Amino acid sequence: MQLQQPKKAVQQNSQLPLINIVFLMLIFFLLAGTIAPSYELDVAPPSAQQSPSEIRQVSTVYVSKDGEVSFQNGLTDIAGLGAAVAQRPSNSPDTLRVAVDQETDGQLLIDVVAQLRGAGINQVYLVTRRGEP
Amino acid sequence: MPLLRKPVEIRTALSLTPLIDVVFLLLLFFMLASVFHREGEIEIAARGTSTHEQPTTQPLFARVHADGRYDVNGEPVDAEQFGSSIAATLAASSDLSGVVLQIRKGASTQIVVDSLILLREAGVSPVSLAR
Repeated sequence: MQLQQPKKAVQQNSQLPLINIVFLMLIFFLLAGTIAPSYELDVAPPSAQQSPSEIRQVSTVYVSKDGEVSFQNGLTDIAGLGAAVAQRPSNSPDTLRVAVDQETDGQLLIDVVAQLRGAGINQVYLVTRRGEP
Repeated sequence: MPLLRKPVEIRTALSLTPLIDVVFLLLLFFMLASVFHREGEIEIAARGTSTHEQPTTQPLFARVHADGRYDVNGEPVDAEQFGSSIAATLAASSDLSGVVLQIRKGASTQIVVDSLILLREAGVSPVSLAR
């Protein structure tokens, strides 16, 4: 008979749509997502859609909901933060980011900023979340 | 003769299974490791630490409570009019410049950020925080 169908070719090509979809998803996640920065503490920054999107490449102080403070992987308290920041290398910039949990007491934030000012930090930037809450 | 037989043709189609394995691994990694919310930054200043003190003018005092209510010069103001009323007050008086935002006990960082954003959208600066 001359009407036999080529069965083998059909079997091999059946994987191609799967690979197409997986490649599309891979490219989507590559482009749409950014690798999550690793926070030193469990901190959910406050949401603010209209905050500037500029992100400075400087060190970050983390303040958790319970008032724990972490700087460069060293866990301190509010009182020890100034000393920890003052121990940075002398050529490091006088700018720091502060990642504070959205439920942290606002007065604690002021204490943190005051400690940083005392340690010679002139500019303090509060990390916010610009996406969906 | 069996010795003169041609070698069996081994050039079959390239197997796609290892490729799919690697691509699946990459896909899984990027799905788990990527975040879609983006970060922003707001500059904050605490009172009395600014290097540019202007002795000729005084700041306007505003206050934010733990439940998100606002006071401007001791009088309650709606959240919608918070920024605009401060901007109008500052524009009307040449003796006033900048805002000192007092944060009452129990106000969360989210409330502080909300008020800073309101002031920022109204074009008010500088804003310093006080307790």
